[in-house]
Amino acid sequence: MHSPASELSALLDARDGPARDAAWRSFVETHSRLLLHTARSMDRDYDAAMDAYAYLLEQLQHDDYRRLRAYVSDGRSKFTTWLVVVARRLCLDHLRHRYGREQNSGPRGSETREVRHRLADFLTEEIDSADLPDAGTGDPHTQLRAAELSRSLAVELRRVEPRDRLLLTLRFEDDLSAREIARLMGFPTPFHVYRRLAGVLGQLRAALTRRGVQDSEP
Amino acid sequence: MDAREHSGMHLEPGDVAAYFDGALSPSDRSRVELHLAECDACRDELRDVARLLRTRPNRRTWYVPIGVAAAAAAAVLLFVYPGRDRTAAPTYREPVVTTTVAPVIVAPRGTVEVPRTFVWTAVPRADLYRLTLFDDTGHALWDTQVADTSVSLPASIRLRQGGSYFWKIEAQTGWNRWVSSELIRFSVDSR
Repeated sequence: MHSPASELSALLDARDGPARDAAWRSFVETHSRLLLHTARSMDRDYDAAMDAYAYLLEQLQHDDYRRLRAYVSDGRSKFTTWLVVVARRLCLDHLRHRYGREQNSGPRGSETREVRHRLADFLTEEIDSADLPDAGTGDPHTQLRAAELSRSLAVELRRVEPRDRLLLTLRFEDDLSAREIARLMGFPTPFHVYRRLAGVLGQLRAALTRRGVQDSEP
Repeated sequence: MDAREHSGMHLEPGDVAAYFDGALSPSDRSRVELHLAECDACRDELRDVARLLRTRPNRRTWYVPIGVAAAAAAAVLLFVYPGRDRTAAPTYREPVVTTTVAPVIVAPRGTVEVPRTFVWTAVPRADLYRLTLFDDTGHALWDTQVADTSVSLPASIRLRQGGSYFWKIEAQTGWNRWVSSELIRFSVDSR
């Protein structure tokens, strides 16, 4: 069996039409399952997924395999990983072209506020968990403190290292499990994710304390 | 349209793939992680890619030994009981249920530019597909067999602009048993 890399080389280096046809057939045979899997994951409707698959194959062939050549000139990742990224994008383009752009389901701003509130709750848990105010209350003192906490948190979050910011986002905004985060960010185990999260949250708590956020009362 | 209007706004495919594979330099990784922390679309993409790679189907080659083993087992059974009258219908078995679905032709159909790829739907348990392409006089121009659900038109087959063609797909669902799609017509755009 050929490796994906050798198949790709055979395809891109083919000198004439028949050699290229044969290399393309071999390439499609090797990768069609992954491409079909990607197309089907983007649209549950069988016909639409098959349309997307046909579009994928066309686009990969387009302009003398321009996209596949882009992988060769980059070459940092595994070919299958790269192919899934490109195939998913092509399917999205195809679906948008066909059905129009999907509307956002809700305002992102309110989500961000909610996330910040969740993170703030988490951070202040140890500061004063018993007296933590309910942000939904109309009490002016509570509102003032919530606003102050949110501002302080926003400032401190901007100072966090990019990797730790992504970690916090995946955990508190996207609500991913430690296992998923480990897989996405390359942590060896979920335990490493917990340990790093505890470290970052500890730093944030300390920073908030230095800014005067020590109690739930303003 | 390019694979994205994403250039400049979002990560390049190579960045996402290399990040997932842990193949970025420290400075590139920092740049990518900063973008990911702020960009919902790119995080969605990273999550999807992880899921797709985790759930990807096994390679087809695993099925070949299983198919060969099944055929060998069937052959052994036939030879172990040579005395049985194989033409008589077995009384202990219900009639064979023939609920195999036929393949459906996806593309090309209707009026198209010169097609480069022929695509059809998969048939459960089919391990081989036979494509036949006819011209409008019924003369077979091309006949090929593949294991996949698509195949490229070889450069040696020239389709003329404005010409009408027919094609069908047959799926092999058992020993010498084939199920055929409808015969589909397509025309090559004359522009």
